[in-house]
Amino acid sequence: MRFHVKHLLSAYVSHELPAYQRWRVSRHIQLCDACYAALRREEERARVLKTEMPRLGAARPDQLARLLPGILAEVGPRPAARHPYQMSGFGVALVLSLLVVLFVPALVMPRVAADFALSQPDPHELASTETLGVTDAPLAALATPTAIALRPWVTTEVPSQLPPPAPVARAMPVLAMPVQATPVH
Amino acid sequence: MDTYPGGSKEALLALVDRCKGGDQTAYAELYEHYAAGLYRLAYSILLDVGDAEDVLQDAFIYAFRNLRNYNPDRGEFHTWMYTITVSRCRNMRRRRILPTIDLGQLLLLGLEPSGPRQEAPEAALARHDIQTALSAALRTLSPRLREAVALRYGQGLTFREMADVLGCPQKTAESRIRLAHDALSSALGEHGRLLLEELWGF
Repeated sequence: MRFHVKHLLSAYVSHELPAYQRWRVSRHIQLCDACYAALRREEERARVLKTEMPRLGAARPDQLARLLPGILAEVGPRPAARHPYQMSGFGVALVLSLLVVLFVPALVMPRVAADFALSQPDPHELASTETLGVTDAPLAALATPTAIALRPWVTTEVPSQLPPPAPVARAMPVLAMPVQATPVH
Repeated sequence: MDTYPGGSKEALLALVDRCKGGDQTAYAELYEHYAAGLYRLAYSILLDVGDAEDVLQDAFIYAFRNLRNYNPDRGEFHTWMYTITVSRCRNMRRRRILPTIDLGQLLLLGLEPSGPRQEAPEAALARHDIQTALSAALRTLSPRLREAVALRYGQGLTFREMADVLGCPQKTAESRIRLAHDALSSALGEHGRLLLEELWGF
């Protein structure tokens, strides 16, 4: 009596319970009025549904016959499968279009680039031209008389009146330099 | 529906073999044997004529194209067909989440009216009322419960077979039927119970 058997009644009504559970339900409903009433309701519902459900949605014969040709057309014999390397006309056209799009500009581009490129200096001229302010020569080599003569804007004379040094917040290390070149203003 | 076309499992397997060879008459035989039951199943789940027809066509096309995947050792052919149909019904339900417009109705082409029934007018009226009440009650069920009721009472499957088709444990199938019973009793209401009393005498 402690454990009701309502959860087993559906299977009990349709004789789908194992022997032990069937015996247990049979014994319980003899003692439990609630489960016995539930069993009667379950039998009633099952009887109604078993009778009424198969009638729900019964198809007309012409209705089903109408659908068959469409199914057979879908599953009927199909044309032979194409060879894996065989391409359709559309595929050939697509590949040719891609070739034209990719390669024609590549063939035309060099001439276009030559026609519209800016005039560039000769590399030999570039090698003979000194780039202002950029050199790999050491500073001492730049201070030779010949080098100074070639650079009239550079002087080795120390001006008599130097501008006062700008105040600094803290002591800075003084770098000793062999030649102090001051640009002429 | 009878379990096997031709009366035996050997006849069914021979028919399936003929279908695998592309025999159109074999396809037609299989269709004629199973179509009515599968249509009822689809209609009981979807409760819509057009959707049930679409599902039936879709299920048969899929089954005929995949007959090589059917393994007789793993289950009965009709269980395999039920599984395919229920799966297609679920797909259809998902698609129905998005609203669609029937072009036929939009263009006022309409559908064929249902044919006359060979039944006495009073009985036909009572039957119609019962079917209407049952359809309305089924609509209140969740899709899972409706599937369970359609398989259990519409197709007469055992709980074990239901579990195979629905892809759930047997206890779950039993539980769904129990829940469906309670929900249907509530949904049928007093009017439905009166109709059943009139029809069944209880």
